[in-house]
Order: sequence, then structure tokens, then C-alpha cells
Amino acid sequence: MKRLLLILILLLNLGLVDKPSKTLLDEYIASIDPPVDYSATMEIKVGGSSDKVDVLKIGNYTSLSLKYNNSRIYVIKRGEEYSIVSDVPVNIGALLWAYRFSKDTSLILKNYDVIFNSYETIGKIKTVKISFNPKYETGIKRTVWISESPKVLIKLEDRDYNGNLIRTKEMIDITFNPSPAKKKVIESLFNKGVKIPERETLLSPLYASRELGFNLIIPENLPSGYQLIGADIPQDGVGQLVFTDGIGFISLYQIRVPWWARENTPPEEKDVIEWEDSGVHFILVGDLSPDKLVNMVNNKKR
Amino acid sequence: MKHPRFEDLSAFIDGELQDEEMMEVKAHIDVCKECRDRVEFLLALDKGIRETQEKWDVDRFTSEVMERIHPPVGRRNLILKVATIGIAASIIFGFAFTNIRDSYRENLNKEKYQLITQHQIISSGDMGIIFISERK
Repeated sequence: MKRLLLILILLLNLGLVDKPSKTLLDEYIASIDPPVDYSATMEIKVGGSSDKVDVLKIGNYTSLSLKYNNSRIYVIKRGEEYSIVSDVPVNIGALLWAYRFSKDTSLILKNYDVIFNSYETIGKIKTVKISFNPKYETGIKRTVWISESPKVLIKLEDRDYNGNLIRTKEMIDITFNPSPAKKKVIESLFNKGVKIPERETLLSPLYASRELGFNLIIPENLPSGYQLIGADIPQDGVGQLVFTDGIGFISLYQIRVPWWARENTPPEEKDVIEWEDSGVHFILVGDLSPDKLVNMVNNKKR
Repeated sequence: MKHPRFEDLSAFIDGELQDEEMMEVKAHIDVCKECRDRVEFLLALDKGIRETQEKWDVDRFTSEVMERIHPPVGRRNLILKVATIGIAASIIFGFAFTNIRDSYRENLNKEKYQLITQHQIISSGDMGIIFISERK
């Protein structure tokens, strides 16, 4: 009997092991915005920063809120629209389009092998552990834990190719089907806030160059798997080129320097790589190690 | 009468001798061809100098040269003032330029950190919300 049970468990597990990358990836994407109501506290660590964010998913609303000084910032999503409730000026434009690009399944599959890892229990929740193994050294090792039923992303961990932790998030104290009364609170907050539509696309580098009045310079040596997904103008006079491999992001900011303040400096391997050439100041930041980022800027084209 | 000295002949031409001496020299010249020739030479030399003076305005030229070597006090002060103002303006401009440059670089540095935060919002996906809260 024991042997029979073992065989049965093995067969069930094999079912998961055999699941193609695409299916596992779809499960992961679906678990980010699950069709189930829940409330939880999300514990987040990014680099040296950490915080706790309250998450409430109820009906077609998803609310993220966190303490800011003596008040709270709410980012509430309903369909394709976001509403921001905050006492302080908050710019979340970048988050809105980045969130969309991080769900580009074809790009992720091009650069990552998505594989079933194991079953793990986190708190009292049984989860499926899925690994994103990068095909290139420039990729990120992402591991996600998704509750079996309902499928909700319980934990996410990103490490660089050398295994150094980049960021983690974990749902703690998750409860399903919260009180329907909470929906009215979220609804009223949503109506009160500043509405921001979700951005479908970024700008083209050509259009951004025209708006800025100078040509954005596109590096030729992109890290393996990375591609240019577009440009943006995050601040007046600042151009931004955005590259991604589906999980990792790189931003190359370019600022035109007035003639009286110009200087020519080469790129150096630091946490933030910056240099200045022909009256343009460049700032390069990304999830890659500085040596790989520096390689990216050895050759540039206009 | 013995021949007058060269200086006396020159003084005669310039009318610088006493009346009595003038008459004595004149009496001698009238009878002495040698001294008359000397006087004619001196007269020719004097005429040449005067013509040159008229043509070149030697006095003005000399005074100009002397002025340049030792400028009058008034002009010297003006040049000094202009030079001082020039140097002061250069120093002020230099300081102002350095200050503006430094201030621009300082702002660029602040902007850099804002942009890094913006990137962290992007690359952290919904986790980037913690960076939104850090934004000032």
C-alpha cells in the first residue's frame, strides 16, 4: 500500500515536472493578480531598504498601502486605471509601465528556463516553488512560491547570477475572502484619489530625442538577452532608455549639459555608472554587476 | 683780432652774445673769409635742424616718447583703474562661473539619486512602492 502511495505521489509530482515552462509561467503571471479576494501584509526588502505594505484584493480593486511619516500612501488599481491617495507628491508613472513589461511572457521564456522546483510550506500554506533559471550570465535567478489553491504569489526572491540577494517579497498573515465592507472603503478611497491611466507603451527613442532636442545614444553592446523596449522622459531635459530581459531592467539616463558646465569623464565600474561625453551626462543603472554594465557602454551608436 | 671760437660763432648766429661782442664778431666775419665760411656752415646746420623740427615736430615726438616712458600721473591712474577693474571683473566672473558650475553639478547629483530611485521603482515591479514612499 505504501509503495502504491509513493508511486501515486511520484506520478503527481512528475505531472508538475513535466509542465512546460509556458504553463508554469502562465501560472506565475496569474498568481500576481489572482482572481480571489484576500488581504495580507507584504514584507519587502530591496537592497538596503525594507518595508511592509498592506495588500487588499477585493472585487476588481487591488490596493497597496504603506505608512509614510504620519500618513499613508494608497495605490489602488481598478481595471486599467490607478488612483493615488497621498498627502505628499508621488510619481508612480514608471511603476505603471514597468508592471506591464514584467509580464512579457515571450521575452521571459526567451531568456529563462522556468522549472518546477519543489513543494514547500510557508507559514501554513503549501506552495509550489518555481525557479527562473537565466540562460545567460546577465540574467537574474528568480524563485517564486505560489500557493497551491487558490494560486496566489506568496513569496518572490531575486538573486544575481552570483547568488547575491537583490530583492524579496513575502506575503505574511494572508487571509482569503476578507469582509465585503472593506470594498466600500477601498471604493471611496479610489474615488478620492488622483487617477492615473496605465501606460500601454513607452516612447520611441526617436520621438523622445525630438522632444528633448538632442539625440539619445543607444549602446550597441547590450547584455545577452536584453533588448531595448523604449524611451521615456522621466523629468524635464532627461531622456531614458529602458532595456529588459523580461525580469531584469536597465535604465540609461541621458542629460544634456550646458556648455559652461561640461566636462569629459569616462565610465567607471561603480554601483552607479556615470560618464560625460560631448555635452551629455550619462547615468546607467541596472540589475547587473558593474563590470557587465560597463561593457554595455564601450560602443555606442546614435 | 684773433678768430672767434666755434661756440662764439654759434652764439653769434643765435644772437646770444652781448652787443659789444656781437659787433666785434661781425667786424671779424666781414674781413675773415675762413670765419665767414664757418658761420655759413653753422647757419646751414641751424636751418636744417629747424626744417627737420618743423617737419617732424620733434618736440611733440619727444614729449610723446617721454610720456610713454613716464606717463603723466592722471593717465597712469586711469590705466591702473582699468587694469584693476579688469582683474577684479575676471576674479568675480571666475568665482561666479565656478559657483554656477558647482551649483549645477550639485543639482545634477541630486537629480541622479532621484533617477536611481525611479529605476528601482521600475526594476522592483510592485515592490517599487517602497521607493515611492521614499521620494521627497
